[in-house]
Amino acid sequence: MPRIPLRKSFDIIKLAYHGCNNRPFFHIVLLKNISKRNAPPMEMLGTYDPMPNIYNEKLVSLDIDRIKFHLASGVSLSKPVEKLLGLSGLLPVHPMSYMTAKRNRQKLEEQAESEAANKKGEVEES
Amino acid sequence: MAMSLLRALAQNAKPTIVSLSTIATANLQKVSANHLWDGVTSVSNAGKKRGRGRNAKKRVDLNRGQRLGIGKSGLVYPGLTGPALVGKEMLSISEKKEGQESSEAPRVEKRTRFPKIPALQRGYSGRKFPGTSIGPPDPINDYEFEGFDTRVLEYKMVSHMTGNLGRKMRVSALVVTGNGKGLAGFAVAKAPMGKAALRKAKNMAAQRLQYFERYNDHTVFHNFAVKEHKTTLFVQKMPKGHGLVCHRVLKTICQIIGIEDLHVKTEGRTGNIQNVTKAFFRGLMEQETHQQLADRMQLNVVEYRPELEWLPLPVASPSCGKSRDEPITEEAFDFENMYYQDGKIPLKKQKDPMSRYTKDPVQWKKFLQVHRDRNQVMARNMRIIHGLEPTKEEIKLRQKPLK
Amino acid sequence: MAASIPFRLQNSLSFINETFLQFVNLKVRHRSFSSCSKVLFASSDVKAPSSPEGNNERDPFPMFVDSRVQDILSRITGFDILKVAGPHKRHLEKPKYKLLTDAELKGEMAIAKERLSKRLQIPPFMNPRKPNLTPLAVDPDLAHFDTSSYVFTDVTFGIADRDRSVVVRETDGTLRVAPWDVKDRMNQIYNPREGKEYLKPQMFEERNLERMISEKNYVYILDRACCQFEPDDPDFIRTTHRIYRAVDEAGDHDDLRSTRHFGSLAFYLTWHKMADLLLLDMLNRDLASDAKDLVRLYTILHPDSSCAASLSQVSSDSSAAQVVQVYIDTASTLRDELQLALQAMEDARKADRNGLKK
Repeated sequence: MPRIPLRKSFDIIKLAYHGCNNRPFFHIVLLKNISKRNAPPMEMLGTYDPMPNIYNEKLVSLDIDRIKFHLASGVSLSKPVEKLLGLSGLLPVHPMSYMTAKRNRQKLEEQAESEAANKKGEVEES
Repeated sequence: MAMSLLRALAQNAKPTIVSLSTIATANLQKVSANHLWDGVTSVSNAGKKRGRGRNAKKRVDLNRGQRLGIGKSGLVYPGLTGPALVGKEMLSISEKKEGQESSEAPRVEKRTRFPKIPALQRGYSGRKFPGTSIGPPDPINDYEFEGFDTRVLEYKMVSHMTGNLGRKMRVSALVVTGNGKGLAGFAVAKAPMGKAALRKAKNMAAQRLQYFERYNDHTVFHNFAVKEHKTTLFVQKMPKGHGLVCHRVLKTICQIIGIEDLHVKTEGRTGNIQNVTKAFFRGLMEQETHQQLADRMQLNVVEYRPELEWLPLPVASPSCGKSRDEPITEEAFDFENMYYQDGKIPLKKQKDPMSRYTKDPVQWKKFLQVHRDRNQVMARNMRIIHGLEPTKEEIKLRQKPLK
Repeated sequence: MAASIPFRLQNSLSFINETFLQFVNLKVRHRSFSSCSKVLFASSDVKAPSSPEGNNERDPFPMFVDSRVQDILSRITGFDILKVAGPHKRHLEKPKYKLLTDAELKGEMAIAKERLSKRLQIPPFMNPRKPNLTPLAVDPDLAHFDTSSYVFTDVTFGIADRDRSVVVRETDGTLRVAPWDVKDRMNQIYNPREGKEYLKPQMFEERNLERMISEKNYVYILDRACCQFEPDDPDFIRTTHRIYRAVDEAGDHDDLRSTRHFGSLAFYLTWHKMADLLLLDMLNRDLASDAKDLVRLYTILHPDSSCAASLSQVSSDSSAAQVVQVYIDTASTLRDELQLALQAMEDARKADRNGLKK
């Protein structure tokens, strides 16, 4: 009888969703890659609040010592965690962050151009 | 016979209808209304002593609200309601003059059966006596009881059987009087009338005053338990600001004595007010003050209060000025349970504070809701203080559906 | 993206800009993440260049921690144990009773005194802290990666609030050490302290503070300020100094005695050469040794003054009256009042001594 081969199991630092409806909040946890999203973590390494506060800040807390230890022992990172650590200066900035930044800038430029064109049109009409 | 007479009387109230039997008419002309009533309701002297005729029908004044001789329209009939002749002239029927009294007698204001009593003057329950104040005792030989107040604790009918009268009722009143500064007394008195019983009890209580020492004028010196027949009181000393948590009768007594903070657990016959009162007064009298304790043990009594950071403050030291040398072992001394008799300690059952929620599913649901929103009010207040709460316009703007 | 921007965005941004402009430089050692994004797992110490203003103004902190100064301050604070213990608002609890011998009572009292003396620790007297605006990493390629900035806080176990590293990735891509107010907020979020609030309480606003001063709630304001602020927070320094001035003007020095704030009050007044009213209060209350200590404190804080010079010629075991007399002659601005008070104190002492002899 054919058997499904077992998935490869390894440790990974990833985000676990712990908010409620319309209020996302993440724990940064150490888990097996095959475990459930909100499984009891092997270790909790920080938190990430993606909703900006009144000062327009997104808050991230990181247990730096433990993260360094786990990185040194060869743990892998999920993409969002890699991005966060890149922004924090602990790791090199993730290439995807640069790409998002570039796309956002392009969008802003296009918006500015279209606005300028609209204004010109309005002036000419009047 | 009596019934027919009554019926005749009732018909007599309406003078327009005249249809009486011959016997009744004959009787009515000879006999007055009072006489008729007597015939119906009277009891012989011997009978009165035995308490007969108590439930007889009360007399009814059939002419109530009427003034005899004056009609509604107020016409003056010469010769009937006024003089027939003035000099030699005959008067004719004339109209009512101004200022003349109306035919109807002024109505007596009917007393309301239950006049409203201000809330603070009411007793424990309804319009009953227990719990109410009846003022200071009567002065004795120019001595006036200034600052005293008397409260009724118990007010009940008591009876005994006599050969002649059968069940003879009296009123028994238990009152406590005091000045709110440690001086108080209580007494029971009986009298046929309630007011007399209260007055008697009040004045008796004023002659049986006792002085109770209080700790810092607000509580007792120590925990104690007293027993009077089947009534047991467990009295606990409480810190300032705790208030009176006890039987309503004990609360009244404490207010009269001047005790402000106390906790009493009442066990056994708690409805026997006289025993509760007796037990409490005896317990207070048998207290040991801190000074007496210090003298008995030859040690300093030291108090540790939480609001003063548990600072050791001596409240009493031996009068000889020096304590004994050997200290007391911690196991032998426990101030909380020191004054219970025979080494018995009251059982304090630990109650799970969550039990009232966990037992009932409806309460549990409610608890979860309250638990979820427990910080919302505070958080909203803080937002308002710091000007972060959105205005109505902003809320409206947010509620617009996203396109 | 626009939907996720909070409704108070504009206000908050202007607030941040203000705080940035307000501070100029940072002078505190700061453990931070790696400044270079290429270097993994490295940490470095950031030292800010000292500011030109910092050199002109003397730093009181080294003087404050001097053991001689600390001795004098704790001595003149006094120790009224009932005032130190003071009735505090507490949850109702039953008092406890013990039966003690005289020796045991003495021991218990000594223990309580030692415990309560820790309540009189004087809050540090410091200059306002300077911000560090030097960025850790500038990355223009990362500009507009998000509409809001990211604040990263180190929550490593056992790290102290003052040593905690907090960095901000701005929307323009620069990584920098978080401004002080952000750091304070992060500390309060990840390591909440009792009595401290996340947002600055309204009572420290100028108008509310003046009202509370007029109600003379000095100790309450100072205690609350100690809870809310770090000792080198400009808000703490502004608030406490305002209170010290108000206390001095109203002559309510005695309200602060036997509290942790009396030492700070004396240090502030002496540091700014305004201690005459305090000295007058001490003389009026017949606290001769305190007055002598205050003059000694003046000479320690101002070693170049004429008072220090003339006092160095007076022998160290001379009486309080002599020492105060030197101060009155050389450094005082309220010469007549102080002279009168000194004379009155001397006369009263003489009368007492004569009365005892008779």
